[in-house]
Amino acid sequence: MADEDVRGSVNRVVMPGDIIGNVADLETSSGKRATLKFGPGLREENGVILAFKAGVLRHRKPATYLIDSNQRRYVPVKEERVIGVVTNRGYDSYKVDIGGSLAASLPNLSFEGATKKNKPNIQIGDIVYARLCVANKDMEPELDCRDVSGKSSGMGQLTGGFMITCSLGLCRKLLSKEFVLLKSLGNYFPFECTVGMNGKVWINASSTSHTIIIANAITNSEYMTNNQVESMVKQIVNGM
Amino acid sequence: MAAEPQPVKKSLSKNVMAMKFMKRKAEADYRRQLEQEKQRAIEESHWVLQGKEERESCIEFEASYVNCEDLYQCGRMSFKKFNPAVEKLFKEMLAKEEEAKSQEWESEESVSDEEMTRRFVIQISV
Repeated sequence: MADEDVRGSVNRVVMPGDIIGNVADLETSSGKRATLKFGPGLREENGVILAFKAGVLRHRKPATYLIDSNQRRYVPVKEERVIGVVTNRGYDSYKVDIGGSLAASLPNLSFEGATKKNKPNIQIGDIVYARLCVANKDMEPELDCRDVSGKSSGMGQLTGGFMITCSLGLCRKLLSKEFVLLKSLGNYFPFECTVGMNGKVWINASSTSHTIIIANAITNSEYMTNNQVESMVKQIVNGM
Repeated sequence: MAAEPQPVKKSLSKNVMAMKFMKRKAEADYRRQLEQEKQRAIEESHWVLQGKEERESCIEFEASYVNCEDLYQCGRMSFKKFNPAVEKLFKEMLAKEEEAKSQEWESEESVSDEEMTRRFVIQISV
């Protein structure tokens, strides 16, 4: 069956243009059991599921298939939270570089509690953490520093600290619940960090040396397993 | 024969009704009524094409890794009380996720009404 087809190519490398499965077959084989979910890197074209990214096809419970790939260029996706650098100030909006092909716009009024008379004062070069409220391939992405209920919930300007750029794969790793790096660093150093889905990590620690240590630990952890990460953190703490 | 007293509709005096907060209440009621009427009109104006039922597809696409790989929604974290506000937010987010997950689990695991009836009938007949 087609379902078997898809399962057969799980954990194998797929290339752009590879056919993963047939929509009609998938619909009949999955029946009413569950909806199949296809994640990033897969799309439907002429009745077949097609890969459009190179990477490893992964399956996640209950019925999600996605392509696990790593890249440095960010492609904006709606509702993702990203870190950007303000590059220009307009009359009613800022231009923010989020690492995508186009700079995003951030309206002055899309901050919690902002009014026409009381706007946030953000300078060129400042860093903001925001949610993408418009993101599609034909339009300029748009940011919003409030969640759906209008609260800031951690978003807004990030003052002080230090920002590093890493790959999108590492950012996903840092945000996953299984990866222990930030938690184990947090056992030894007081610090705060913000991980954007666009490959930017902002770190704020009590001293410059701590910031450097944490930044290096993050960049080095890209291809490490949890055990390796833990021994690395131990080494760092012993070396201090 | 004494006539039964007419049931008088209780109403407040003109002076009371002219007070600011009473007026405001009346206005709010009126506005709500208008809103409801408007809503009803909108609902009635919706129409459905006959005989063209959308076949429900069991395939959906999700563009974000956040939902596919079960990542943290919010990327702000703080450790060792460096920024207590962020730590509180993070805990709240975790609690919310936990709640959503348990709710999903509950709805999945619960026995349907028909199943319950069927079992009950079997139990009683035995």
